[in-house]
Amino acid sequence: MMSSPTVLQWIIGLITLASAFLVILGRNPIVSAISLMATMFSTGLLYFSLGAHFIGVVQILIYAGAISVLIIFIVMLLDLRPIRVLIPGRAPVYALAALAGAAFFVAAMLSVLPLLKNVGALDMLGTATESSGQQPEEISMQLLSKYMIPFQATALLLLAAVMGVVVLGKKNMVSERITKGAKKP
Amino acid sequence: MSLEFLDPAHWMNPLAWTTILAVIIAGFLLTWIPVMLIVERRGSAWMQRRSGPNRVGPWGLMQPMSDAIKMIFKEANIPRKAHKVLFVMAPALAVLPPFISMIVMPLGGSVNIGGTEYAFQAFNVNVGMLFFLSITSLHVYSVLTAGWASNNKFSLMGGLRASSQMISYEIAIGICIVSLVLTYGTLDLREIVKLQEHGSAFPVWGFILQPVAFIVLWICTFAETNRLPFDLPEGESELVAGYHTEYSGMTFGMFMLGEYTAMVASSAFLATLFLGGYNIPFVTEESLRQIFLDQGLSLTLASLITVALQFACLVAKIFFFMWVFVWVRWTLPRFRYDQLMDLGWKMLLPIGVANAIVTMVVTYFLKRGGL
Repeated sequence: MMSSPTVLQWIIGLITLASAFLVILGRNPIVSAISLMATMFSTGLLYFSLGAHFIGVVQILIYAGAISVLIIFIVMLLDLRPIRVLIPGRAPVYALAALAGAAFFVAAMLSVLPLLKNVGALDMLGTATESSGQQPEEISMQLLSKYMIPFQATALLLLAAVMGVVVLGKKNMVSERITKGAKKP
Repeated sequence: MSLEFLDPAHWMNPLAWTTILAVIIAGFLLTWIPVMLIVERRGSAWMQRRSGPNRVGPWGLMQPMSDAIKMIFKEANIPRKAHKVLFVMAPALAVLPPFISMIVMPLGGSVNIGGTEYAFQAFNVNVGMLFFLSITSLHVYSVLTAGWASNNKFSLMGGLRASSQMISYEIAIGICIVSLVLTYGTLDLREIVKLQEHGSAFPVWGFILQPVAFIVLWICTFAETNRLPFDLPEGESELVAGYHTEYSGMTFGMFMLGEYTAMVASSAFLATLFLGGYNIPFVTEESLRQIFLDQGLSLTLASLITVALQFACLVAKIFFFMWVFVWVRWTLPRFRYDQLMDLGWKMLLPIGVANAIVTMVVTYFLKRGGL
């Protein structure tokens, strides 16, 4: 059974929303990056309050603990100054951005609302989170049996991305090859 | 007037129990600070054949008290060009993670109050091992924000060094955790401690089952807590004081507090995984409780004394690791930065991976029933 949100969940939800707004409204890139970490962390807390301990821990470990560190790290190295004006006086751009945001919000709601209406699905969600005693085992069994191919494909994709970054990072090597290739014919 | 409220069975419930445990954990962690201050200062003096601070109180034991008073009354200066909010937030971020991470640590068996067994652990979660790692990984934010918000090149260099060092060593920790999970078959810290309970037999604790993972994880703990020989983020000879160059008074004191509490939390984690946690060698929880029951004590009192003894045993194990922290700090010189990265990526990580592979093979054949 899914009960209405508790006081704690309301508080965590408000923190999540506030820090998420700070990400896009903050003038300072570092403040934005740190509030992104806060958003990730409070989302993890939300999972905890729903009883999904494993998902919550993974959320904090990977998103709040690892990915946000890398984002902050890069922003610090770039030494960005606080932004004074976002986009100088272009009303249509703002309107387009608002429209795109609204469209994304509607799409997200459309995908979630059927779940909210369907009480059976909610019940399933509730029991799945309540029987968290076997959660890591269940998730790993699913990952290594039913979702084996997508799981491996993601790993390959990440590997390709890493190799791409290495190649792009070695600017001299690429440019040298291009110039050498151009000279050959 | 009745004295019913003196009997905890009348008012004890899970919420009250968790609140009591939260107070115990906070007090426990804070008590370590003055103890470690005096151990560190007198211990280093002993190793270097100096006298150390010996003027305040008997044998200099009141030295931490005067240190604390000095820090509280010193001005906490905020540089004019610093980012004020983040500058103040960073010390708080240093203190929080160790306190949160300790809630999943099993500090003792269970206390029987009014027929209900209350586990001596604030938050019994089935993924306790991962919870601890995820919370301690947040420690890097305090260093990063402190380094950046100070608006000082030395501070920023220290912050960047700290973050890259912590991320590198977290990978080796993750690999060690894989081999540990394969050995114990669970992520539940309480379950792991129960598995290391061997009664009157020889205590086959984690460090005998996984010696390589023990050593690697122990080394990584030094890097994670920024202690020597891995304290490059605050290398005095290069970076003044690294990420906390601009901090003074109690804002600096909170960084120190965070460092020592992180050391305690990591030591408790190591003790739980490899030294049998709260287990006392050669006795089980039941047999110990039975000894006190035979003395004519009530069940509540007997279980309470048992838990107190187990907690004392855990404290002794934590103190062992804390002493090694001090010992290593005043024995080994600081690494060079490339040596540090080589050790993390070219030594500890391959060793950890090899250990995980060996563990996988052995576990597979043991599960099949024949090696």
